[in-house]
Amino acid sequence: MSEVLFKLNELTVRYGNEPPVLRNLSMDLVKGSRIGLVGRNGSGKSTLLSALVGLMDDFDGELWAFGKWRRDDSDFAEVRRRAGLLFEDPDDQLFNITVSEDVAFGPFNLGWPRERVITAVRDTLARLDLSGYEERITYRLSTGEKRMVSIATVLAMDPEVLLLDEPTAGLDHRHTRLLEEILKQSSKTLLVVSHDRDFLASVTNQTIQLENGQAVYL
Amino acid sequence: MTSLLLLKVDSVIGNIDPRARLVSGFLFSVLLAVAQKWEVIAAGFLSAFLFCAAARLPWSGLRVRLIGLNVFMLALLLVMPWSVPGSVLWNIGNWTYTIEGVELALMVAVKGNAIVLAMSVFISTIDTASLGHALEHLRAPRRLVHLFLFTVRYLDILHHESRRLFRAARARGFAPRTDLHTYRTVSRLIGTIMVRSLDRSERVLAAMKARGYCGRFYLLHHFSLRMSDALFIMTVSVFVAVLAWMEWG
Amino acid sequence: MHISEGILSTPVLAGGGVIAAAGVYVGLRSLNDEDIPKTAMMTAVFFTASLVQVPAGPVSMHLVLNGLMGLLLGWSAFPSILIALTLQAVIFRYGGLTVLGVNTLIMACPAVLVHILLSPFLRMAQSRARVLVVGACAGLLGIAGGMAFVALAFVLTGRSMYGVAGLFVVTHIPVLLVEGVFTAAMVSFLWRMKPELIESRSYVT
Repeated sequence: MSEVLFKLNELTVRYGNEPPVLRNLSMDLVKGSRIGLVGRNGSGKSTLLSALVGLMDDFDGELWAFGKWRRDDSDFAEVRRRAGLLFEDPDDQLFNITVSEDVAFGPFNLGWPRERVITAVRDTLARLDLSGYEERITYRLSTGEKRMVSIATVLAMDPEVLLLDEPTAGLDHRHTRLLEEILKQSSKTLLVVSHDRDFLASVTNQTIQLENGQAVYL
Repeated sequence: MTSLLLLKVDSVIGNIDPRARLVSGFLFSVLLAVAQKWEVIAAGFLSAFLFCAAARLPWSGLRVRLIGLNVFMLALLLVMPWSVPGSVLWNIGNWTYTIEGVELALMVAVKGNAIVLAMSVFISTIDTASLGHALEHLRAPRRLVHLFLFTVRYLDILHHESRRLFRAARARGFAPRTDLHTYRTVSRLIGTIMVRSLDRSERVLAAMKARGYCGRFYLLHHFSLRMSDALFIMTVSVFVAVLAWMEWG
Repeated sequence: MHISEGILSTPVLAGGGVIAAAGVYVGLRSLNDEDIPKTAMMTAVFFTASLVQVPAGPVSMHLVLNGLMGLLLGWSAFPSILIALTLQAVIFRYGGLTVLGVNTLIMACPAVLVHILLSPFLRMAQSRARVLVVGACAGLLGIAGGMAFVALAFVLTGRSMYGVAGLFVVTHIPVLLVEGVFTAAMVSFLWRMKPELIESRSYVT
């Protein structure tokens, strides 16, 4: 029996007074599993990813992550260091001036020594075919380039779990294939939201559909 | 704007013409700020309190603000009496803490609380867009009103944008501390919001021009005074007139 | 950085109102209709930024950023600050209507001063180090000027307020330092990200 990394118990998440987006959702994310998350627009996929790392300010139910029940913002600090969340909109993620500064932001927050951060930035950019982008201004990149850089900002932290929200949106064919290869070769636990069925089929081996705030295993 | 508006009330006060509320709040504030007599200030405090109660303002929002204000007022009470001459209560060498000073500090505190209560009931219950329109109807300079209306329109967008960016930074392990890394990060987050927002405002202007904007806004809603508004204005006027008479009469 | 209601004397409140109105008038004259969406966006950004809490040792403080507003907005900092303060008074009831004039002066006069004294240096600055220095000066001057105006308003109100004026100045020294560092970081960020913001005479006028 593999280790359970995330365990959701009757999780309910709502925005303000709206009807809940996730309703009594229970599911486990086991170490090493590779799950594709699908569902209609507004079915709560992005909300679920945010909730896993404690970014939904308010939730009902219980959430277990990395060996502990987590409730307050302070409980989640460790979760965010160990699970990397890629936001759906790269503009949410990028706010530094240059690409290398943005990629270095997470590793510095992890408290890594400078040399290790520099190596991580260089290696991550090289893996993602972004060598030479170090000093580019993130704000002036194209949508696809911004997407690749935001993927780099997550991978550079070397998280145990990758929570990816539409990682291929805006990417050209070549970069989609490159991302596919990287994810296939890594042994990290994956939870990927995507409307790209081919991509999901190639990087994940299990699918969960969100429907009426509940998880349905396909 | 609901996410930023603290006092949302579904009571009588919400139905009164915003212009009437704005003018009432202003008159009340000015009178209290200028008043020197204890009876006027006390009566003003009491009537502001009664207006709040009558409008059934939620106390929770009010309490937070009043606590903040009174922490400051407490500091005033500790400091001010040292620089007012009069009968000595305590002294440290040449420095004297006087009864007159305490009285003055208390007066300032009651005034301050009364004005915040009056503001809360008359003005904070106006939603910000209506406030802009009320200003236009009250003949505030046109450009100032437009600037105000645009600002209000952007506020909610920016509020969300800033929450999203700060959330994404937290997702990457950012925790604010007193250090350069924190200041640099926060300055970049705000700078990013600024740069993106300016681009957006250029797109907004372009889109507006595409629809024929040439520096003028037309108001869709016009206010008209009703019987209840007239009654409200009369009630407030009577209060203000009585207070003014007590002060100067 | 504001003065609450009920503290200042009538002549100070009235004088502040009149002078602030004049400043706002000059600021509005410097705007043309096409600048309004941009200036409003800046006002909204500054309002939003003023809600951000930054840790400063054991306490946390709100940003003021009036020095930066001076650099970016010039004289239109006056109407912009008036609107931001009005919104603060209406939404959060910080400050109020009768002190609006004085509070506008407290923030806007140093902003315009920063515009007059430092904007030329910023436009000439060629290196990041110089931009940082100008930014730090703008932050320091914005707050120091504000502190001076607050103290002046208290002192003009009467002898009874001398102690309060002193207390205000002492408790705002951390704000002064944080704003210096922060404004330097902001200006250098903008200089690299969107140089046209900094290089134009002032972005709006």
